[in-house]
Amino acid sequence: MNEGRFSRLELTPTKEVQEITDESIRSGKLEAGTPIRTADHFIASAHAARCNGDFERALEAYTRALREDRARIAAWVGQVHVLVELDENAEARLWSDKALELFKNNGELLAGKSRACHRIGDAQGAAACSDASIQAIGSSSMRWISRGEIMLATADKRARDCFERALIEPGSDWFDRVQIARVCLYAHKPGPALEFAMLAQGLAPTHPFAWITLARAHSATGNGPKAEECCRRALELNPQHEAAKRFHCELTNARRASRILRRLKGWITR
Amino acid sequence: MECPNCTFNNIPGMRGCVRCQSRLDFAGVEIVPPRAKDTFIPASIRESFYLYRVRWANASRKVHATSRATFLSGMNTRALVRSVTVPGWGHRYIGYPIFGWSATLIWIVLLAFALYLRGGNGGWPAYFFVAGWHVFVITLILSRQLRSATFPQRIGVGIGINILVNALLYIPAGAVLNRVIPPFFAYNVRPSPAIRTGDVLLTQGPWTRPARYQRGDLVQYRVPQFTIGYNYGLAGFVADRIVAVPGDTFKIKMQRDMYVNGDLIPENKRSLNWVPLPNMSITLGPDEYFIVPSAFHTFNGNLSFSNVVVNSYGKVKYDDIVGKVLWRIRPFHRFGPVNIEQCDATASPDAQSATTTAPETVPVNGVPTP
Repeated sequence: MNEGRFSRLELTPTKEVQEITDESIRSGKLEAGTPIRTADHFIASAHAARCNGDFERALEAYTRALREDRARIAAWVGQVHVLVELDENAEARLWSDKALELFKNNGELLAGKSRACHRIGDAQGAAACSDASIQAIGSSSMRWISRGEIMLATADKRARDCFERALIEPGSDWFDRVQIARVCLYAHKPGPALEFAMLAQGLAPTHPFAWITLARAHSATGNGPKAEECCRRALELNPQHEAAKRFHCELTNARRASRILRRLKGWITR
Repeated sequence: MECPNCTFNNIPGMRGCVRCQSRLDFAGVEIVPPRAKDTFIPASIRESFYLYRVRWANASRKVHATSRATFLSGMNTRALVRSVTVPGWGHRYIGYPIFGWSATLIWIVLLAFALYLRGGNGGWPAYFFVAGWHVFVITLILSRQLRSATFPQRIGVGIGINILVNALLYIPAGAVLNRVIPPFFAYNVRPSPAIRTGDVLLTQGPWTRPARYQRGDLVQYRVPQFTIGYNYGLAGFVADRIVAVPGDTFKIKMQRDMYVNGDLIPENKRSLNWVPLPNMSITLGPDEYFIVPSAFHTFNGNLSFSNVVVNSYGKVKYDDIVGKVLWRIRPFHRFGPVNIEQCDATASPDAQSATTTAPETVPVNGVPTP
């Protein structure tokens, strides 16, 4: 057989691009190098994006996971929590209602709904959903975090109990501490936020999002230089980290604004 | 079939879980969540009204459950609200984009006509066309519900929608418009290229008029009714230029020359310069403006009348001035802003004829000739 110099050119595809889906896994037709398109993969990438503070991408990945498998409760729960993190609470509540129509009395979804209700201002609905989520089968740290968020508005001590209960749940990791810190920051409680952010940063010093949360907590307590230092550490770990860049920009702008205000004050009092 | 929620093993083919009533068949389930940026209204505003929306939804559900008007159940409230806001929007929402856009376009054209003809003879028919089209489009949204309704129910719903649309949308909108830019029908005003008899002008309204007018401003103002012997002047609105402002001293000397604070007003800056005027001296109060009315020429130089008319018509209170004249909308070939400089030009054919010929004998601004 004559093997010419052009015999190895791939002018036409020899095989169709095969993707790994749940179907192909079940049928056992797997080849190396094929792109993975399973619901598990998308949920994992969504979780990674969420841990990185990139909530838009996380929402997108959760949706893609649901496109692969609509019965994945984790993806529905993730969508609700990400919508809450994006401060789209009315949408989160609407979406949790829809998900609860599919999965009746699911504890995680009820926890997400209670967070959305609480942030909207529907305290009664939030309390009812939180009670139901605690009473539902199973247990998770997110249920206790959402309960703590509701308690934070009325009873600090009970909120702390809830947060500590969340941290002793099996599978609790640094991201739960970040979540608690963010919840405290949302409720304008910078002291506890700083405490939990430091715990998270101690557990995961290589995660930029832990540093950013710590920076936000420092900033909320009024410790600007510390906040800037934490922000710089986050940017050292990942110079392209969007949340870190955004927060760094916010800090710089705040510094400029305070400088201008100080100057104005000086001119006025002169 | 294992339930994803409670892990109960159901019989294959079941559509719902026997234990927790969760769904097992997910075909056709929407998976893309709603986003705040998908709507025009900011999330903060929507959230602040969220509780009211929930209460409203619960109340309406209760009404639907207990009401005898069962034909209204299953009504697409969102489409209805959109249709009430902008005709055709609801149809676009429920999946009829061509009809929706056409309905909106027709409504916009009718609305433009109604605004153009506002206040005139064609104004009311145009207004009824706009409101009628709006009600018609809303009724189409409800057609599915009205199909099962009885004839009296349909009539009742139609009348109800008509009353609501007019009472809540068009009448308040018209009232606001009349306070912002009211129309003014120029009738036998001082002839000039800027304003002629038959023009329809837009003026400033009570909500948009300035706190203080300047000398030379072209304004629309209210004139009172008065009687002199067998002659009378009807109350109404006229447009003329302000000659003197509060605090000024206005004088007429030699039955012709006008002075404000001792300065002679150029002839083209007056409202009138071709009939003899009574010699007088007036000092204006804090809230008074002086305008020499165009209606004055009908008295044909009768000084005994002129004295009364100038004092009755000429001194105008601030509250009687509606606002400055802004825009000419009719006739269509003269559509455009009213140029104040054009008011000064007396070289127009109308103005020339007015200065050389005797005044007409028709009643002017409701003032019949002696």
